[in-house]
Amino acid sequence: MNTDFSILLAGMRDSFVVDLPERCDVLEECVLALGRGDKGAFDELFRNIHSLKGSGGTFGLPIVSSICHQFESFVSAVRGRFDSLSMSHALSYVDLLRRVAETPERDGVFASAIEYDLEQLRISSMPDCASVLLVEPSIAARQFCMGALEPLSVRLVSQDRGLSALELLLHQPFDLLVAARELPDLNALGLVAALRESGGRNKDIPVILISSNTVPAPAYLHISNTIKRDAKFVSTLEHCVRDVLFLRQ
Amino acid sequence: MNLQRILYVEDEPDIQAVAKLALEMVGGFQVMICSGGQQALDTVGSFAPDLILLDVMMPGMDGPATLQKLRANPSTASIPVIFLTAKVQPNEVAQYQALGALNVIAKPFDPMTLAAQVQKIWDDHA
Repeated sequence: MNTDFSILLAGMRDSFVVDLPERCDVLEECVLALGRGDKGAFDELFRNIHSLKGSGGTFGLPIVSSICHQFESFVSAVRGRFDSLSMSHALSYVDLLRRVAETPERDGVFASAIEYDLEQLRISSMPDCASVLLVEPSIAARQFCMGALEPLSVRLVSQDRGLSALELLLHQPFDLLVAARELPDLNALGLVAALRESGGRNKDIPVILISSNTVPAPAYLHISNTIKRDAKFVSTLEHCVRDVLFLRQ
Repeated sequence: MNLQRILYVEDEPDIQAVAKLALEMVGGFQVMICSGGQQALDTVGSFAPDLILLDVMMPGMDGPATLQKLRANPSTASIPVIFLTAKVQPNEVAQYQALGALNVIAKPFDPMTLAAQVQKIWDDHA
């Protein structure tokens, strides 16, 4: 029964991707309406982005959720002062969503290219918005972490394996790494050690470890915080991220 | 009492479809979908669910307002409710529980484990 459901779910996910350009058309119409001074289009745009974010997450397309999450933050930030530059940025977000639909590949390689362009767009559209890489193998725990970081205006990229996270860290700029201690391929301590040795632009970024135990990490890894998975985990994570990134409450 | 009939209140068509399949195919539950709070209030009497899954953020009547109406009606006051929301901070979860919800499921949910999550919350409160 689970296999049947997996097949159905994969079919629904494919249909979602096929329908994505149509939904992008709706987003684009909202952006153009805003450009014409129709302030009522703001709520419609926000609602459509939010809806797409939820669907992307449910269908297991984190790249869609990542784009929409950042698009939502951007739209919130420019509310009330939507100018021609805002319109250009907003249309760039829509174009990124279109690219998800336009390629037959939705694996890591493709997602990395889009993530890179998303990061470039973040830098140009929201220069003050921090970028966080979350590495957590459990889908449920990842969702809890994403929920915790939802109220923060950060760009959130998620990975479920150590090696894929390292590859991202070597090629894209991040302001913070949040990683579960135990990861497939390469555990978090190995990941951080490789990062610190890499000499790349992320080599000195702060790191928050998520762990079931309190065994301290080696000092030379310069871990900013270790968070225990307990009842207060979600709020502790949010507070730690705020502290590390100097975000306001 | 076994959990069999679930009323799921959610305004997003994509999520409605995935949740219905997940709960029916993986969990073996009988599921009725409503697209909003008012529709849920109109449907709950005839469907007689064992449990209601209620999205928090919906246009019109949102989840908490719908729960309030359910609790105000003696015939629906005791039907257990689980909220679904992206906001799962402990203070928010406590707030939803204070309103009378059994618990909260984080969105986006994992379709493969949604039925098990619902069953576990049900079992924990049995």
